[in-house]
Amino acid sequence: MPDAQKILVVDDSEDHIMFTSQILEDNGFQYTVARNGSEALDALQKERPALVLLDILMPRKSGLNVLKKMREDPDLNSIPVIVVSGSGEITGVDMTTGQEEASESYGDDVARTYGEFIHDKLEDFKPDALISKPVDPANLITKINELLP
Amino acid sequence: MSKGDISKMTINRQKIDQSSRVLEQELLGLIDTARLIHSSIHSLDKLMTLIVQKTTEILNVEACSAVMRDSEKNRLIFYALTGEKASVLSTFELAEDEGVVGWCITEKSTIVTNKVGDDPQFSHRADEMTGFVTRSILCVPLLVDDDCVGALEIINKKNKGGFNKRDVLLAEGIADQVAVAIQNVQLAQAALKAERRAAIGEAVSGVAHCLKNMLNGLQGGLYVLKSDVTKATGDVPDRGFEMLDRNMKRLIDLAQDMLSCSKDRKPEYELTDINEISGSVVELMQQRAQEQGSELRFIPDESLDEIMVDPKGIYRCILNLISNALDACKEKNGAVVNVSTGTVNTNEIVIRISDQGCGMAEATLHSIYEPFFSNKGSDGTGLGLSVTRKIVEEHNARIEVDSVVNKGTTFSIYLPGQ
Repeated sequence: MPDAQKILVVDDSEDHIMFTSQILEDNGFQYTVARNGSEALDALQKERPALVLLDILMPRKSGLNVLKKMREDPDLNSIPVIVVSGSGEITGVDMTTGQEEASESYGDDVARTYGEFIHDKLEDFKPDALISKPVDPANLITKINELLP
Repeated sequence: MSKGDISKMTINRQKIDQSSRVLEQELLGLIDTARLIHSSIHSLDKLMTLIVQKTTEILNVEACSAVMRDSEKNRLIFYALTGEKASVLSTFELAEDEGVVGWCITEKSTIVTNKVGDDPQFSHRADEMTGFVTRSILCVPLLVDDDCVGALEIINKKNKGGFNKRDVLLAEGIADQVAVAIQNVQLAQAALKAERRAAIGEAVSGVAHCLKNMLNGLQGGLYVLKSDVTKATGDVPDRGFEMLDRNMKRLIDLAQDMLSCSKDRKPEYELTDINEISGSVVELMQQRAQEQGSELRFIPDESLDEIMVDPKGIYRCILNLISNALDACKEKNGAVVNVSTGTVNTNEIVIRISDQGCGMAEATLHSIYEPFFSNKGSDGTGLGLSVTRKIVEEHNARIEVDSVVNKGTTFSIYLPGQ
């Protein structure tokens, strides 16, 4: 059985971990921390958190990898995931207009941006919510409360 | 055959020789313009100036100009000019349908006037302004697809008879080629614009990613500080201030890197002691090395001569490389970073930054100098090595990398000696 209030924070930035930990502490949540994708998968098995706050761009197994593994594993599939990322692609602001227009003129020769790649993958693995950095503490708590079982 | 007949034949022969020489010159001129048109497609200004000069020569005229239509302002602009009044006319404009050239562009057809005084279409404005006397005009339209973008206006044939059929054919031949050249330039410019926009899109997205992580650090610092202040009964812990401080520094570094990336930065060269610069960066980074449990060593070659470099640029390169080396050693307690200087290939000065860190795979090595490429997650801006390489190239120097996964990486900068 998952611990009703324990949240897994996955991020490689110490500053972000300190920030998020403080928000969670101030709002009475318990939490545990993983600093890369591999640590996150270990923590998921051992701790069975009630919810995951997941960064995408991390060295050693990205957040996408963690999300994919979770979606494929029937034991982990039901744990809600909030992707918390600094990448432009999840804010709804399209920063790759130039790229897209170039792709139209030159066909498939122009490589897709990493942002577009992540965007497509997130569509595939469907996180339960997306939050963009810089994190708004009130928004984060609202989303967590909505998703916690 | 009488003497008279022989002298007639000689005269005829001379005439034929002369006319074939003229023909030959015209043909050579035409070939020259073709060459010009196909050689410099990236600068329309330069191309037009050369074409106008060539046309003046081939057609043996007093003046020539390329008149282009500015469809936004509905005006005709004198793009490139030859002749004695060229400098006076460089700012001269006509209405879209004004003058013989306006008529030629509107009608998209060649117009020849050998007596401008009798031509109601002729505009006297240019002559009045310059004091030049126009006698004859040959105007040929520049047609790109069905659109007339301008015309070649050729003024005052130097011989008495004015412009003839052959002049018209020659001018039309040149105009056709010019039109193709204009189209080429337009296509090349459109392609370049799309490429630039793509690059700008990527760069903006890269900067936005870095900024968001740093802003998150600032937001976090402020939040933690507020939270600590609310709860504190005595001294407020330093961690909130430290987080603010750290992220402010990262923002400043990002701005610095972006400035270094831009083309406008001019290197300021001065006689510099490479050991002194390297030593000062090592000193600066010593604290960070100790905090993460790495050892940072400096091995200078004391015999180095001072060389002309941009000291700020080289400082930035060494700082970026040592910073990367320390990042690579983060998870290997006790790992060593060696910074050394020396002379190689008789007169090159080498600065080497060698670490025992995580190393890089072949695939990573291919992309390390690309702007915004980083495998450091939230920690990297992806600009450090891109900036480093730019500075190295400005010095006509080279940078080399050697890396083995889990063993470490060595970056070497080879600066040309005096």
